[in-house]
Amino acid sequence: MDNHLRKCSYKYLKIMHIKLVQKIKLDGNSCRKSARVLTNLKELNLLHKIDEIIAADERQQSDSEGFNLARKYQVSSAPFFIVENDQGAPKIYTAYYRFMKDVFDISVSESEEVSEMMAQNPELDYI
Amino acid sequence: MTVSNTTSIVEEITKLESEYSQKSPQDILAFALKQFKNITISFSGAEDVVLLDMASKINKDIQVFSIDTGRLHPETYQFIDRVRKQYRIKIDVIFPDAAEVEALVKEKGLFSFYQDGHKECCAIRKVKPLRRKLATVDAWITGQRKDQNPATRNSVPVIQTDTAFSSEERTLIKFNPLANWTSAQVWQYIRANELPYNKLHSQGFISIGCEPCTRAILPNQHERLGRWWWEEAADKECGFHEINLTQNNS
Repeated sequence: MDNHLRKCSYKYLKIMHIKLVQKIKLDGNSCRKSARVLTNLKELNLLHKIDEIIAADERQQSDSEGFNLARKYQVSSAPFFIVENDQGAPKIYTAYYRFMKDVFDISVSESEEVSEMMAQNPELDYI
Repeated sequence: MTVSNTTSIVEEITKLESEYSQKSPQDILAFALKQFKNITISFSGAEDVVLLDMASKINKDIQVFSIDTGRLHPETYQFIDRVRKQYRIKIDVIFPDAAEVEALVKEKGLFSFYQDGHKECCAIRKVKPLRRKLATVDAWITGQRKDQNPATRNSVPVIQTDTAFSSEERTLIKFNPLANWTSAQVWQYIRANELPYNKLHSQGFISIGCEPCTRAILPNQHERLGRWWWEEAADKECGFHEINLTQNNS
């Protein structure tokens, strides 16, 4: 497995392993947000940098690694990222824009950032 | 107990939340106003008038802000101004970026949210100006309550780090003093203290937002059915629901 050297604002200088957990719905398709993130990574030619894409599969919940990881890390929605450094300590990213900034040093537009913020924090709608 | 440097702030907030979760809204407000000089109260022009009343009895020099999305009910504008006069406070009324609003309206018209959902319009008219405002303070206070959203009943702490608006460099603290109060308690306070309230409440409006996206509700309907009622719960499809996460525990 290649080591991933990235210029990033995050304190990890050497990211060893990146996992993406996506949700697969009962109809076999990725959930909307997971699909959007995968498409975006592909468009940016970064999808190959993701070492593992793990499914939280609603059709096989009892055997689903993705749901086990969501439970382990107390994550409430897909997609999310698990980034492990060379010490093996994982950092969990539930915000895509933060993951992109920290790991790939790619800034998303403010609109995309706010859109994700609202998706992560639905109570903001009611402020 | 004081809130110290950023590294230990999350731990301190967790301890404070545990300590203050059983205290009264007034005690939580007093703590918040004492701990932070640069703190502001969010006033939406609805039941959160209770916060302003409580805070003004603690400290006359409270900072208050309201977001004028440009689409509020006339009654809400009138109420915000009545509160300004009655409490003799300067309310910082903040606005969305004019160019962004103009661009949205030029491209999609004045009612795009009925087709596209409310998120885009709310992002421009509400969340972005909110973000700009919160970048200038160290802490803020909201009138959020657990009973306002039955789906997230346990997720409104009285004190929390605001993960939405904090950054790696700066941690914003959020207080929700009314988190454990019910709607009935809020209205009991309003009546007992003869507070002014938004006239829309007398017309069956409970949760009040922008005019095109808010409606009165019927008796015994949950208050949030009065907001964006035409939309499907599309965002729920990516959630890891409780049933998913508790299955296969054996």
